[in-house]
Amino acid sequence: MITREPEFFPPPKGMLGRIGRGVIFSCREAGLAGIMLVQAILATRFMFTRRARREIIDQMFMAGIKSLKVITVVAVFTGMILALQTGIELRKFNQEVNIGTAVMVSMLREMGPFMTGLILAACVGSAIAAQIGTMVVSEEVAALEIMSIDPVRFLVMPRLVAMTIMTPALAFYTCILGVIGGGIVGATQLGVSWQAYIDNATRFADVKDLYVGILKGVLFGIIITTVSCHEGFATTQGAVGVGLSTRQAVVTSFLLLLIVGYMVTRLFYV
Amino acid sequence: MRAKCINRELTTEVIVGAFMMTVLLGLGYFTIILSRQAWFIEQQPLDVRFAHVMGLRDGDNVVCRGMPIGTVDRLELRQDGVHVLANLESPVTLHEDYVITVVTTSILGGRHLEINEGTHSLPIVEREFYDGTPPYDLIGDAAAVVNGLRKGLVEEGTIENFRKTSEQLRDITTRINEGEGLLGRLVSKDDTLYNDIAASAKALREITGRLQEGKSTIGKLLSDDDKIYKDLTATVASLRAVAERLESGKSTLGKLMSDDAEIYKDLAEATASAKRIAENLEKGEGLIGRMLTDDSLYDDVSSTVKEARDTMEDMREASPVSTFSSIFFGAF
Repeated sequence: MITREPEFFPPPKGMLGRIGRGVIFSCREAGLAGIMLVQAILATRFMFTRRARREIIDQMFMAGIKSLKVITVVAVFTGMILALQTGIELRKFNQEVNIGTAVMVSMLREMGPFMTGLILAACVGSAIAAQIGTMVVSEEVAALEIMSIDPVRFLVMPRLVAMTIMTPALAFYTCILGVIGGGIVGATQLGVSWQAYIDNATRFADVKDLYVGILKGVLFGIIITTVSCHEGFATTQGAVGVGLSTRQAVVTSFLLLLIVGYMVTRLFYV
Repeated sequence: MRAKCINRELTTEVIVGAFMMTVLLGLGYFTIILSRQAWFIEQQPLDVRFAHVMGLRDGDNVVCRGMPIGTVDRLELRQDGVHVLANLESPVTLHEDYVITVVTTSILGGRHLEINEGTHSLPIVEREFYDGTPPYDLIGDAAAVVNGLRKGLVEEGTIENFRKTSEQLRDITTRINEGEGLLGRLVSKDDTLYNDIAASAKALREITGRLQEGKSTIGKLLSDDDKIYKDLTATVASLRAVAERLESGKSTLGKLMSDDAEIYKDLAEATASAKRIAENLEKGEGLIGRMLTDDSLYDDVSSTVKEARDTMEDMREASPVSTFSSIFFGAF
């Protein structure tokens, strides 16, 4: 049962009461989100049905292709900024040729997946939360349940699959464009030839860096979808509630991206 | 309407599929590039044994003459050391004095396996595994240098020496600032010493100017005109000729200076004779001695000379008469 009835609780007493209620509600929300995620994963057994496939393709188009313009600009300028900042410092040691390594490793390990995650959380996650939230407040989700259509399978699973596929793909795309942006800065601002830049970039980066970045992309896609869908389903209080859910989905996604990103780095590199 | 909807769905699927295919191809390409595996090139295995590999990792480059020729495949820790198993894309022939070592790639870190093939004139070495040279530990060496510096600075009293030296320098500068000593006087506001030095410099400049203009003897000597030099050369040549003549015993002076003592003996004998004559003269012996010592003889000679003069006078006066008489009587 996804649809929730409005709940009213007596106001908490004192500071400890508020903190306790916050902790309990947070755990409850995390539990509900986890249950929804497991349900969505279990529902992936239906992902190859014609209707589900159609929905997944649509979601991939919406989440991935329509975000390309923003991601392209962000990725190129992220790489350019990284190259410029690193190159300015390395120039003091006459080592600006090493910006290729700095940009490539930074983009593959952290910046590529993280920037992609931020953009998708802001663009796609907020859209998911708003869309589902609107469906909830307009009781479309309740109607689905009345018709014995599983909202998780119908709404969450296609988005989860689409985001789990598209986020690492877009993260890789971001990495490539970031490296190209760094090369442009190296060639035009720092006097590093393109060939030297690419040689240096590929010399120190590792396959592990590439696939850890891809793994982060997968995790970020799951996080964004889960948080956004959960916040959408938790929407109450009409249009105001939709706005609150959308904001809460973006904020929670950002925080979780940072925390999970750190934990993955800690797991693989320390 | 349905056809339009199907077309839109198809377009969406094609775009998403093309994007995913592009990403997968890029991912595969990057996987090949970053894994540094030459999958389509026949590779030559190389096994090198090290005591320590200083953090060399799988996938690090193998470099020969500055050119990457392969990668490190894996590292194995065995009883006899660390075996580095590398795959070389270009075959390398190692000679007796080969050197294989682990080198730091850049200041930012990273390692690679450096191969020096050795002297080509020496025999080729082919072994199951090769011995690597212990890596050059830059950080360790730097630490040793720092420790040495610290020991020198702290334990051997270099800092104390610096402190004393700085105190002495401070003392010197204080004295200079106070106008003590030559430097102090030069630095002080009193221009006397400066004026003296300036005057000396001016005088020196005038002297050097005169010398350059060829005035005075030294100036002439220094001038481009070599007349004096020639004169001096000629004089020296003459002196040398005179000296040679003196040495060879030619001329009187030369004979006097020669080792032959004959003239000296003659002179000694002559001197002795003169001495004896002088003694005889002093004693009044002989005619001259008596003339020197006895005045009567002088008087006699004087009167004799006087008489002879008178006689000659008489004869001069009587000579016309006698001449005429002779002529007159001679006619008969």
